[in-house]
Amino acid sequence: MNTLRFVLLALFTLSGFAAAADLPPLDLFRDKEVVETFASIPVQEAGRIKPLENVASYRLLRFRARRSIWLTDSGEMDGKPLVDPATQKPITKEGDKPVKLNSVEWLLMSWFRPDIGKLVPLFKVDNSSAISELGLTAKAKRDQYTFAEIEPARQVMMQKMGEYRVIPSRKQTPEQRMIVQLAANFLDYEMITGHFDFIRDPLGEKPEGLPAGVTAPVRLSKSLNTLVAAIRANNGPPMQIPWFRAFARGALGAMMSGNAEQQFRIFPPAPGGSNVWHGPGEMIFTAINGDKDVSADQLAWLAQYEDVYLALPDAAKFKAAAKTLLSKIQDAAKARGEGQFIALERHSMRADYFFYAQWIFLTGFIAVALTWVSPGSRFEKVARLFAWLLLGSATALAVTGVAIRCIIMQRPPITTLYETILFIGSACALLGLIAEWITKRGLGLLVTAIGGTACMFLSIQFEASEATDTLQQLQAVLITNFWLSTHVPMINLGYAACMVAALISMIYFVQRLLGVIKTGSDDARLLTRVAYGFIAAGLFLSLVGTVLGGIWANYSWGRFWGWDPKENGALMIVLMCLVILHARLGGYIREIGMHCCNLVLGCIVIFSWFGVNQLGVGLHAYGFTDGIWPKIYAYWLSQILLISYGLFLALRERRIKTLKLSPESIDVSPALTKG
Amino acid sequence: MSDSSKTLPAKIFAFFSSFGLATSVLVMLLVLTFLGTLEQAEHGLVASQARYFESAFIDRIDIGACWRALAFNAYWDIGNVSLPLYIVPGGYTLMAILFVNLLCGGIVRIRKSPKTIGVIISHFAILFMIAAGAVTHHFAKEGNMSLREGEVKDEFLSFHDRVIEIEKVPTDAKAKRTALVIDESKYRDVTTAGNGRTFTSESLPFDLIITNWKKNAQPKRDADGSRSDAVDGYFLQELSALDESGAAMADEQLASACVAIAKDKKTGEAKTGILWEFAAAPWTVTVGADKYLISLVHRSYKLPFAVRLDQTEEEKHPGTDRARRFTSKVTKLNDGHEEKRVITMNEPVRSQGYAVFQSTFSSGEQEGTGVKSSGFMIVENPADHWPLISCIIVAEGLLLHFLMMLARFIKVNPWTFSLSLIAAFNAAFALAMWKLL
Repeated sequence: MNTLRFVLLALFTLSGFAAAADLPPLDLFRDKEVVETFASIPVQEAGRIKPLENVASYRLLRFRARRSIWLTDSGEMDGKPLVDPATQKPITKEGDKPVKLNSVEWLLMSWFRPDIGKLVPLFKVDNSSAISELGLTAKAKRDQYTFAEIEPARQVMMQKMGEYRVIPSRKQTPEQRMIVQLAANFLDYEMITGHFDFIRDPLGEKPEGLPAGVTAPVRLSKSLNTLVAAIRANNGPPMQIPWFRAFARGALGAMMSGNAEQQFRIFPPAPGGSNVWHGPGEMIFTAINGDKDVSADQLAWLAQYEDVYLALPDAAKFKAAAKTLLSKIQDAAKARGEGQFIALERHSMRADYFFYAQWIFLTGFIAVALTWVSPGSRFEKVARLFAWLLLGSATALAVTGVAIRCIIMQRPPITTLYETILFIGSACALLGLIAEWITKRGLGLLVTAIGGTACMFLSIQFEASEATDTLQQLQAVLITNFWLSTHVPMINLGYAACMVAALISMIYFVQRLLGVIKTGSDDARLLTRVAYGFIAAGLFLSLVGTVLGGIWANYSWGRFWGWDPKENGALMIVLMCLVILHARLGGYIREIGMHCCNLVLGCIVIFSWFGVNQLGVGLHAYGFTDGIWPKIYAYWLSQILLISYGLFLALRERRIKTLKLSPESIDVSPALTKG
Repeated sequence: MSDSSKTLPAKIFAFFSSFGLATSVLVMLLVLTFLGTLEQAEHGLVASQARYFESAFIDRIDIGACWRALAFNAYWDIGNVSLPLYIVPGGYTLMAILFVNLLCGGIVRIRKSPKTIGVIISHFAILFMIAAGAVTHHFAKEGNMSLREGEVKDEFLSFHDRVIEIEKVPTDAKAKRTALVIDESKYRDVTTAGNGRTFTSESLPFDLIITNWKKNAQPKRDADGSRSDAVDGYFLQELSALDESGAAMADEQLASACVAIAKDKKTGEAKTGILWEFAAAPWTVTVGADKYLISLVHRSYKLPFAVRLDQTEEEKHPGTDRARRFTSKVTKLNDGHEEKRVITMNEPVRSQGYAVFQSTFSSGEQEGTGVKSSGFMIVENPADHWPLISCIIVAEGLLLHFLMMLARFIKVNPWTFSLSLIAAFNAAFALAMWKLL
């Protein structure tokens, strides 16, 4: 089936447009009721049931790194509104303002008004030389291109993709990577815009050589089995059949993605049978490749789906048909005991907890900064109260967001690298608040503000760069809730505690730099003691978490320790914590030394959190991300600078101490005696 | 207390129980773990494990490989740089020193007071864990067994241990199989055609000389007869252990090979042959009326029972190729007894000291056989449950210590505070085990 699909992909351009007069107005697809109905449709994708809104959202995110789009010539708010090809009027709303589409509206536009969809700057290209390589005119270094702009290079792009995709991703040049990505996005969008071709013109505009009993207008819900029988009965390649190309092309659009896991599946099978949902494209291809007729209940689903499209351009009929489709799918899913968290997932997408948490954390940071303006005053008290409120609510938002994800997936909080960021961010914030509650000196609030903002920002960046659904199904070996809810959170809490310790040490050195504190001063000692507490917590969590992981491995697949990079990363954290504690007890490091070591610990955490995944070896390599090394280097470099400053401080203090201790030095240094 | 007043044993004890030693050993372990992790990218897990973590001394550090693992080569390619060391202690030595240090410093010398109880408990648990590691390292057997549906086996193969097996073809077909075995560690340093090592055994009529060993190689036809090291028109061509993208290949994909010379003890007549892991058949040496089969293979272990795979299934996440679960129904065959068992992911079958884990699954489509098969990991480890025990102890010890510290910091009663929190922690853990396991 895959081969067939690729042959077809290389052969056809999907572009069946209806006559301009029949085109429904774009406003219909911005209608609240319509958007709400389509957004709620349950879809099976990548092994789980999710709302269509999720599918639309991640497709758009993958194409243009954002979840909304403006209908202007730049795709941004400040561009010139696009002209509707059907009416030749600019697409605007009240006051001639340009129109912004959310992901579901964008998907509906692409389905029902592909003529507009192809004019919107949709594909984000980070590397203009990739565009030049395709023989197109490049715009800025990073820019967005419309489908129509890319289309002339389709042939070249397909050929280049074929060449480049076989190169291992480590060895691809940035241009090659960009072309492979652009080609995949282009093909997927081509399928999205051609999604309803199989209803519009399932066999092309003027089909010839139709089998007996099939008459125009052809409806697959009625004629699919007859058509497939004709294909099977044909002695020779199916391409000989005059209508086959158009038929297969329509089926491709109906499938909506070149990625098998992302095929469009919206028809729940009857309870008790297979757990794989059906989709229009899958139905047609299974029929062509198999030897069985499509069953009556599947054809009934197809008819239901056709009704929605054929109701256009009548708005009332269209809305009614869409609602009927939605309720049928919902009922069928419910009968199977599936899709019960669709509403919750839509809520969490709209509530966008981590996005808001990020901004509230940032505002909280400003409130913390205001407490430094006039220490001891009433202003400080008010600012601190605000900081507490803001940071408390941001933490609550982040924790709620994580909890909702657990409920949707019915499993513990961490299964992917993305989820570690959310969890560690929330944990850092919570730990900071606990520290503040104990020490009441503003330090904990600062930790919460910095840690929370950084992790929420990171999570949003990470999600945009991956652009795949962040709620993923688990690998076979991981399906055990006990270990996923003990070992994994414990390790990540360990990361969080160690990062908090490192953060406190960064605060320590910045305060030293600003001259706010001195070695042994009250505030400095507090910083040291709190950091020490977090190291202790970090050691406990990392050590027990790591050993628990080993025990999980031992009882589940027979080996306690395998020197796997991720395991080694965790071991390195444990060792560094032990080094810090023992070196301090042995008197090898004091205040400055300990803070320097904490910074090293932070570097190790970053290495084992993100770095080891980049090595490309090992069992835990669950999140390879391109271009993450430079970010790790930047972190390491910043820490090296702080550590160097720390060493400079330590050396200077040692010198001052020797000067003070030796009486001769006073004699030979008149400046000191005179002073 | 000045050092000069101490006796020599006291000085030695002071050294082995010092914080300085503890700190240095921990730092060295840290560095070694870091380097060993980085080298895995190019040398693979097995090689870097042997070099860093299981070695008495580290022979060298491949700086170039570590550099590339950190992707620094994107800015500056330093090429192949290697730092020879020889005297720097490896993981094995460091763990041994740590053990002694912990025992002397963390158990014997440490001040005994209510304040240090938690620390002593944790130190004790870590000692136990290091001991468990040592027992596993020296005595555990592990390997895999691949079974097709309907197949019965009572042997499993080590993952990484290669040996040369010398088996005399028995005159009686029903006789039990026995073979002489030479461990890879005894010959893996004879890597050139010039030098060789001789192995001799009283039960063999010939000496076996091993030479020209290669970690990853392939016999090639010596087309123009120019190779001086060719054997019967073939020579061993060394292959890279890196794949196309420059990453280390998995150890099981590597095929080691060597040249073997069988020298008749009486006549001195020498026969030369190539031993290769992927060879289809063993090399046969005939001495008088006896035939000997010599082969380079993964070490095999015998199970005290046989296993038959009755049925195996793969469950996928709907609409994807992602595996959700592999399950195998097996029968354990022991002296005519049959026992049905089910092995699935995370749920092994344990019997007679052996644990059998589901590790891989094949639908047989790729092999073209259409017969489903399962790969099982088999482990026999006397220290199987020790890490669990030590984990529980170390967790309680550390919790006690750190919670008491926290209690003193926030000025509450240390014992009430820490013991009640420990009780809560244990209860939560027990609840999780009860509900989820």
